[in-house]
Amino acid sequence: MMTSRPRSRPRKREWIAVLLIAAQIMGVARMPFVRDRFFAWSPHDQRTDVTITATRNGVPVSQKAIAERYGLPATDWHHAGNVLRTIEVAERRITPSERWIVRLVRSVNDGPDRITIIAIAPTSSAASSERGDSGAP
Amino acid sequence: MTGDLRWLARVIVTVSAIHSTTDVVPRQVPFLSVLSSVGPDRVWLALLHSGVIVGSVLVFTSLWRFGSFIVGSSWVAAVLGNMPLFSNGRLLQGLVLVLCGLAVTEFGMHLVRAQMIILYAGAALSKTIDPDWWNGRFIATLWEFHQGVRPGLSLMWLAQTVGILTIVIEGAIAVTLSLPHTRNIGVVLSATFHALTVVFLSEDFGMFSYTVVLVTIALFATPSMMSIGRGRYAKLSAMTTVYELRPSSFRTAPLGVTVGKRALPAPIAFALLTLATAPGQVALFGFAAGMSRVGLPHVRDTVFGLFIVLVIVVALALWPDSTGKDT
Repeated sequence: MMTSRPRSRPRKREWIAVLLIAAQIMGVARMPFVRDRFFAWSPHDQRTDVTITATRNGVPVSQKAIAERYGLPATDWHHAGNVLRTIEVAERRITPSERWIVRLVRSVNDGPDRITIIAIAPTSSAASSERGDSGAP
Repeated sequence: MTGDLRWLARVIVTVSAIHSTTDVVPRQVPFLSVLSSVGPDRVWLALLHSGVIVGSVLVFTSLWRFGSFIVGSSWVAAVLGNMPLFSNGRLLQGLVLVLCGLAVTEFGMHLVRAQMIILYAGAALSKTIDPDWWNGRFIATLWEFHQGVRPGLSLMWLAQTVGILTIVIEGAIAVTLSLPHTRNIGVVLSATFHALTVVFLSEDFGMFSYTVVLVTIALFATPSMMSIGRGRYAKLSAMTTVYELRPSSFRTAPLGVTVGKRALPAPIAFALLTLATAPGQVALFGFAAGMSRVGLPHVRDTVFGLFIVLVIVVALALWPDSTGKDT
């Protein structure tokens, strides 16, 4: 039976692992400064109930189309910031003429409803969403 | 040494198969837009499924590192391909396997350990900056979800206490696992915390609880952990039994069993583990459904928790003497 002692010097492939660990440290470190909780080992620390409606050129979009575009469950143990981020990313990747104005009603941990309007400007691919939080409607 | 990682990868792959978490979720709003260009959805799913299946086979061969990397990468890719269904548990099991596949030296093992410390540090920080974890609102919501009743104002102090305790425990695990002289404390805290979570919530969060407990025991527990289990109460403690069954400790364990007499060839050992626990799981879920129906959910929860302890005990009992089987 072969017995080998561990090598002391890191191998090249282990530097890939170092990058993976470093990326996670950045993911945790950015957490206090951003809304979402992706790659921070804490995305499920909230329960978020969402109701999404959307319009395209003023015409309501069907719930089926909304589900197909975002794939977000109505009730989930996800951070509310993750839900917002998902919608924003999905909209930015759509051709400007196909973008919707999204109205998101969300309740975190059975708290009061909050409304957010997400509208990515068609002329810019940058983060130019107009967002307005308000209390219960 | 790195032989521990080989067995860790094999146990995670096997427990995933038992737990039916080998599936991958379809692509939806990927984190990286380039992932949208990897062919149609059926090609994407076929690639990921192939990676999981081929890697799971390779992990039981001499190419175990490559296999571990392939399976882990497939699960990580599945997470990267679906932003709305982001899963902590799937990401953890994937990353641990990727890191096991990349580790060749002691330095590589430290990186797998670092993975667990980052996990707990992130979890503790997230809760620390969320007021709902300090005022009890999150725990009350969780309580309502699992028990069907939201705690009244008279019990909010309990929800608040549990929330704060969770923050303290997760932070303490991150710190104790980081320090050489307190690693065993971290292992006990971690195993106890997750066992209690599973029992009280009847929820193992997919592979998350299994992966966390397996990695912490396999890579952080030291031989001095044995001293905890010595004495007349040694065999009465389930968790102590887990530690004492860890084969690297067999030579000094009060049980007096050497790993050489118990070790089985890996494919046979894991086939037996799968066969032994699969019917048990089917029976368990049937029993759990029955207990819920007759209004005894706590019995169901307890059995569910014991089942997880059983799986971990069996997996660790088959663990080889890592000092003699390194490749």
